[in-house]
Amino acid sequence: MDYQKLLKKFRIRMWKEAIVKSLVAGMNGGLVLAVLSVIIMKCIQHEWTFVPVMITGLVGFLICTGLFLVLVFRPNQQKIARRIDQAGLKERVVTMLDYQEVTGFMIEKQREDAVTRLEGLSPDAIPRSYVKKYLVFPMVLAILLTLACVIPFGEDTAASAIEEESARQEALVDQLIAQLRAIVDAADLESNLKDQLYEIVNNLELSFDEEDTTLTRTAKISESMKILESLEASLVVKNKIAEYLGNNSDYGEVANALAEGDVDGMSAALTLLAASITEEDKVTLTSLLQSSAESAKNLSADGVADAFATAATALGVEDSDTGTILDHLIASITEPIAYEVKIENTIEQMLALMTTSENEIAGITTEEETTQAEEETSPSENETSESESQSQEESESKAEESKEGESQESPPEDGSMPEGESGQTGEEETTEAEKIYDPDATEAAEETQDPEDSGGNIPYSEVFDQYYSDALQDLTDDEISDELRDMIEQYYTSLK
Amino acid sequence: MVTEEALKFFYDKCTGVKTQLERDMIGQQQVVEGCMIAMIAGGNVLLEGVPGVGKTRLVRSLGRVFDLPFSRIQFTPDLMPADVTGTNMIMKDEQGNSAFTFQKGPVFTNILLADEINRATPKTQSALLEAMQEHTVTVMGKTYSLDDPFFVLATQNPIEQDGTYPLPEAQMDRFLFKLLITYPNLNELARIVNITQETMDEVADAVCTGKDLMLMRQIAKEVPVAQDVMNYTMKLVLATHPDSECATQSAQKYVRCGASPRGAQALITTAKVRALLHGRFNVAYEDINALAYPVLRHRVKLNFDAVTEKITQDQVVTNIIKELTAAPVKKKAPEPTMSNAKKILSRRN
Repeated sequence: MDYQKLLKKFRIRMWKEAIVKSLVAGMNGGLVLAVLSVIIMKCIQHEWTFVPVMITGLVGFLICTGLFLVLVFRPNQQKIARRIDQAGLKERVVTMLDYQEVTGFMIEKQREDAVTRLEGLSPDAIPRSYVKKYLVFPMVLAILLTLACVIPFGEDTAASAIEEESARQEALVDQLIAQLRAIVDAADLESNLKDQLYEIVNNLELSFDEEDTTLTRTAKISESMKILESLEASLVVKNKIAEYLGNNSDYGEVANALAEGDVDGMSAALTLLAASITEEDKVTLTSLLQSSAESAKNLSADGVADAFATAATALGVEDSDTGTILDHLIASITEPIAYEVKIENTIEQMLALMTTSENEIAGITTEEETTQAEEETSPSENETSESESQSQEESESKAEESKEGESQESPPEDGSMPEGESGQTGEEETTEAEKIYDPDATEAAEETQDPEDSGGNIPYSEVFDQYYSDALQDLTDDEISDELRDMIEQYYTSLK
Repeated sequence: MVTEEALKFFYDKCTGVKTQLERDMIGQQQVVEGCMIAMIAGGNVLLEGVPGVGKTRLVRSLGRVFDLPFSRIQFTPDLMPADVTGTNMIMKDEQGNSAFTFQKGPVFTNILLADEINRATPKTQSALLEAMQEHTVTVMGKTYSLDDPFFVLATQNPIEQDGTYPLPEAQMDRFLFKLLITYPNLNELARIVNITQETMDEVADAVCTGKDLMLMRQIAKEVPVAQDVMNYTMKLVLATHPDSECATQSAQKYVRCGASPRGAQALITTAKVRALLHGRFNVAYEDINALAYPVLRHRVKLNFDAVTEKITQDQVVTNIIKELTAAPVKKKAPEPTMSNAKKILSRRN
């Protein structure tokens, strides 16, 4: 008997069912793999994307479908017989197939009975064996996949915090740029100078990037501040004149008036200057005024340039009387100095704003940077926090700058007079560099300000030396072995 | 050799036996069918029921229908084994010499009614062990064979336990079936009363001889059993053992001792007969499940937990069947009757 032919219509029905089951099972497998891939990507801190997850799920679906079809759901003769018997044939088909090689009257009767029943049975009469779980599983897995995609893991939370902090910094930067532009807009300055200031602001704006870290952003602001400071130094000559005059006690009032930008007090000061000016001083001042005129010309500030030039000419006339000099000086210097004061005020506003923004941005330290800093920190330096190390480095560099400035007896870059010479101005405008503890500073300064008590920073080199010497002193203890002593000495040597 | 005629003979005899039994037994179709299956399969039956539900009448009627020698022993506490098996007596021969002569007891018959078997002492009960299993009786070292077919149809009362001796496990295991006779329902009771107004005697006619019965037994043995069904049967029997690898939760919880291999033998043997009676030529899960109750209920010994929770053997068997996964018949097909079986046969002829 051709059992294959007999069971053909049922086999087709079973294959269809097996394919559907395999597809559903494959879908389950694909979804499981997709969920796992999302979880794994999140666990390894990889930024998960939709396409790889889809590809993983699709591959899993295809593989699982094939495997389930071949290994699990593929209908063989025995499976088909069992399913047919479930349609009410009461094990007739299974028995028939089991005894297909056996002969005998009762077996023949059983076979006839089974065949008769089979011929009258429609394939649709076989009850479907789709289990609810086949449909419930994909739904559950789909929900799991959605949750895995939506719910942020630990790293995602950190990443979002970093993004949030970065966004805050960007907002601060945008605010800074807008305020800088507003300051330049409001400034009563020559258009060329305003263009230069706009260019600095524009360059600063363009230099920022979304990927910037806190350090990068503050560094860019610092760079722009330096440009502004150098521009101010090149434009504002009154400070140079004031510095020169300040060296001579006879011209102290003129120097103060110039430094403070006190135009009203300038006349009185210049009257005194004209009365007591020496020939040597006239030559020097003439030179300074001429250079100022050149600077003003470069800025196309013709009026200012002419005024400086006139003053220089007046001073350059030999044996000119005091009254003539005075007239020329008052007429020519007062106006440029007033203009320089405007420039100085504008740039100082910008610098102050940039300093504030820089501090605010530096205050928003992202978690990512903290982690990076911790990784970079050697185990022996773990006690020192990132902020402390940063501030220490900054104060070191600034302290060095301050030292250099003092040794060269040059005024600070912000234009303020040095302490002790500029009087009240120097004390009020205390710069960051002045806060640094300087061992070479005067005793009075040490008495008035204790760097540790006031929270100031101590240069690294000094701290290191002190620690090193203390360590060497402690190493003289006999209980410390030579090996340990060498190790500690090597440690300090490596830090040098 | 089974032939078409033999099959027709089988169905004719079965129909006749059933018809005649229904003349004396109103209702109790399952019990009647159970008795028929047991007798065709060649097993002993323990009938359990309260007094007056027709236990003895059923056995007497079976004796009449099968046209076989019938003996009845009323088991009492003072009944001795010799009263059952017979004994050697000193007899004088024609020459006047005295010699022991074996006097056969009531067990030497074809159908033995052991009425209220639990009232006899264990010693007397045990006198039936050999007869029930080996169909032989050994007295004074000499073994006597019983005529085939030989059946013990025992009855016992489940409620009056005073002065009774519960059957030992070994004896219980020798009963193929334990059938429970329940109270008749309203209609059946009315019919019983009406019939017995005419006569209290059994009216069934003999339709089947011992030889016919033996032939029917041979025919039933030819019924094939699929390997799946065979595996399921073995699993079902092993599932009654709490320590078995196939043990179900119910068995582990409520069963103290499971069915013996005789249970598995009984299930397959009787399932073949049932399949033929239901017009099939193969054993189905359905046959095994239906016969699991009469075959297993007296072979499964419940533990104290089951007793305290008033769990019966039938409930345990039901739970075991449910817990076994190999009972996949979900869609019920119309059950073939005896008349349908005949139609099938005639259609094939």
